Amino acid sequence: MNNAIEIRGLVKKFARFQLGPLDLTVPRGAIYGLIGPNGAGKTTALDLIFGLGENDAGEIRVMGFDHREDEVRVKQRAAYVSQDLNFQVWGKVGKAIRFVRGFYPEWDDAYCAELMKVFQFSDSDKIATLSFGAKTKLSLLLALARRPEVLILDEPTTGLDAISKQQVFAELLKAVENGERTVLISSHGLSDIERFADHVGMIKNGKLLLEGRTDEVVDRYRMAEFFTRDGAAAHKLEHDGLIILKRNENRWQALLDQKSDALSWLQSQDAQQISLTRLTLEDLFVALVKEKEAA
Amino acid sequence: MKQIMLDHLRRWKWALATVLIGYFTLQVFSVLEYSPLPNGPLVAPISHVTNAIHNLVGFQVIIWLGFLLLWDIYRGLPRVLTAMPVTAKQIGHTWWLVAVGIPAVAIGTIGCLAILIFGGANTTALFRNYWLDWADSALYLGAEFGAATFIVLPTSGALTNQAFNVLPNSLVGIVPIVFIALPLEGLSEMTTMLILAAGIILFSLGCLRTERMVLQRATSKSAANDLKKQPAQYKIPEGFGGLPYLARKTLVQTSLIGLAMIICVTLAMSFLSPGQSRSQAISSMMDAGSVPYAFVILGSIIPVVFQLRLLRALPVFASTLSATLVLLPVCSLAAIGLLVITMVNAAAGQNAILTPANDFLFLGAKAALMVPLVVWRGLDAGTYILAFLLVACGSLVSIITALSFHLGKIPEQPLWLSLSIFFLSTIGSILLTHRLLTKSSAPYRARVMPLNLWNMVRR
Repeated sequence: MNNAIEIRGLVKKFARFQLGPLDLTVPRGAIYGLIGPNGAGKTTALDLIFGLGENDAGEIRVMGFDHREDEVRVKQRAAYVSQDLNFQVWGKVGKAIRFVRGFYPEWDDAYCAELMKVFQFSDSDKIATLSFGAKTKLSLLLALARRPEVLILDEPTTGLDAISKQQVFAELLKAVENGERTVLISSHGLSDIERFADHVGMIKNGKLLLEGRTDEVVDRYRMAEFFTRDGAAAHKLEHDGLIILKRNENRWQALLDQKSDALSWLQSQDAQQISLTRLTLEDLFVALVKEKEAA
Repeated sequence: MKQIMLDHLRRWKWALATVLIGYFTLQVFSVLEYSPLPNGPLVAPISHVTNAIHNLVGFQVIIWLGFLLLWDIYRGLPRVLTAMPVTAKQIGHTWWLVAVGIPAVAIGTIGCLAILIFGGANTTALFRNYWLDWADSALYLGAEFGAATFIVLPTSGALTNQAFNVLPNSLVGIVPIVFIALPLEGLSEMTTMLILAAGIILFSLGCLRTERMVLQRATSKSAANDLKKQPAQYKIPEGFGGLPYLARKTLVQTSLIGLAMIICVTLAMSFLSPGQSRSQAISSMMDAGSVPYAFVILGSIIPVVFQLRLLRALPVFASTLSATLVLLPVCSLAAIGLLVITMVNAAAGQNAILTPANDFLFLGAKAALMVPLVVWRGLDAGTYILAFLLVACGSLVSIITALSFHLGKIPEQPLWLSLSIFFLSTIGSILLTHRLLTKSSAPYRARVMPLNLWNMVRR
C-alpha cells in the first residue's frame, strides 16, 4: 500500500456546485498541498473523507480502508484539523483534551505535554478567551497528540501570525520526519505550500487542474514573453501547452508547458525574442486560475 | 436610525409575522373563552387548556419579538453597526424601538383586532380588560430588554467575579417567570405591586442603558486580551473520556441546573400563592416549570449539535452518535421526571403520578423530535418557527387525546399510549438524525452559537 489516500471518481452535487469527478492520490509519507480559489471544493473534498456528508459517486480509501464501510477504522488512523471544529463547549483546554483523548487508546501524553509547551497552553486555559490562532493550535494539538497516520488539515494557517505559522509547520514536519505519517493540507498560503509540501494538487470549480510533485509541477511551466511581427494574428497563437495571459500590441505573455511541444511550435510561428522565466507556485496558480476563468 | 430599523424588520419579517400570528391566535382563543358558551361536557377541558396556553405560552410567544435582537447582538451586529455613521446612542434607541416600542404597538393593534373581530357583544368589556393586559405585556417587553442590558459576557476573571455575573445574567430568565406568575389568582396586592414596581424600574433602566449596551457589545471581542497567560501545564486527565464523558457532563449539568430552576420556580409559586398546599405546589411543578424544561432540552441539544464537525471527525459510528444526540435530552428529562414523580408520589399519593408521567413522556417525545430539527437546520429563525409548530402540534395531540378520553369517560390517559408515542418518537428521531448525519452536509456547516448556552450552563 503505497498511497495513504486514494480518491477515484468522487462526485458530490449541490444545487449550484458540483465537486468532481475528482481523482486524487496522496502518497504515503508525503505532505500534499491541496490548493484552489475560494469555493473550489477543497473543504467539501476533505469533509467527504471524514463522512461529513455523502458523496454521490466515486470512492475514497484512506490507508486502504473505505471511508464509509470502515468509517471508524479510517477515523482511528486519520485526524482532521479545521478552524470550524468547535471546542468552545468544553470550556477549558484540559476538558477538551480529556474528551478527545478518550477516543484514542494510543494517545501520547508525553507528546501532548510537549505540544502544550510549544503552543503555550495550560489545562485551565478557557477556550472562549483563546485567540483565533490559539484555537487553531488547540485543534492541531488534539490531532497530533494521538499520533495519526494521516493528518488532514483544512486551511490551518489562515489567521495565524508568522511565528505561529512557523510553529505549526515545524510540528507538521516533525510529525512526518520518519516518513510514516502523511499530511493532506488545504491552504491559501501558497508560498508555505511550495516550501513545505512535496506534492501539490490544484483544484478549481470542483475539478483537479493538475497534480504532482511540487518541484516537478513548478518546473514544468514557464512564463514565456515574446514578440510577433503581426499583432493582429492573435487567433493563430493557439496551441496545446500554450496559454496566452496578456498581450500588448506585438508583445505577448503566455504560460508555457515544457512537457508539450509549445516552445518549438512558437518558434515555428515566427515568435521573436522568446524569454522563459521560472514561476513560483503562486504565479502558476494565478495564471492557471485566470486562464480557466477566461475560458 | 430608520435604516437600522428597516433592516431589522426586513430580515426578521417572517419570524415577526409568525410570532404575531401566534399571538393573534392566542388572543382569539382568549376572546372566545371570554364569550359566554353553553355549558356542556366539552367546555371545561377546552376552557382549562386555553387558560393554560394563554398564561404560560402568551408571554413566551411575545418574548421572541425582543429576543430576535439579542440574537443579532450575539452574532456580532454591534461591531458592524458601530462602524456605520451613526452614534451609539442612536443605535441604542433603535434597538429599544425594535425590541420594545414597535412590538408593543404591534401586539396592541393585534389584540384590538382580535377583540373587534371576535368580541361580539362583549367587545366593550373585553377592551376594558385588554388595556391592562397590553400594558402588562409592554412592561414585560421593556423589563426583559432592561434585563438584557445587564448581561455580562464571559470573561477570564476569577471565580468570585464569575459568581457575581450569575445574578445579572439570570435576570433575563427571572423576568419571564415573574411575569408569567402575574396573572395568577391568589396573588396578593402587595406582591403584584412589588412585581410591577420592579418591572417599571427595569423598563426605565432599559431605556437609559441602551447606549451602554451598544458600546459594551461592540467591544466584547476583546475578552482574549484580558487573559493573563498562565505557564504551559499538562496534567494527564483521570477517569474516562470520549462519549461517556460528554454524556455525563451534559446530563449532570443540565439535570442539576434544570432541577434547581424547577425548585426555585416551585418555591416562588408557593411564595406568590401562599394558600397552596404542599401537594398542590409539588403537583404544579410540571406547569410551573416550562422554562426550566425548555432549558434542559436546549441545554442538552445545542452544545452537542454545535460541535458536530468535531464529533463526526472522531472514531464513532454515525448510529452511535445519532443515538447519543437523541438520548441526551431524553435522559436529562428522565432524570428530572423520576425525581418529580417520586416527589408527587410522596406528597399526593400513587394515584397522582399518572399525569406527570404522561406529561414527561410527551415532553421526552418532543425533545427527541427537536434533535433532528436542530441537526438539520441549526438555530436559525426557521428552526424556532418549526420548533414552535412542533410544540403546538404536541399540545394539539394532548388536547385531542384528553378530549377523546374525556368523551370515552376514561378518567386518565393510559400510560401505554404515552409510552408508545415516546418510543416511536425516540426511535424515529434516532433514524432521522442518522440519515441527516450521513446523507447531508447541512449539519456540518459552520454555526454561530447565538446564546452561548454552554457558558450559561457552566455558570
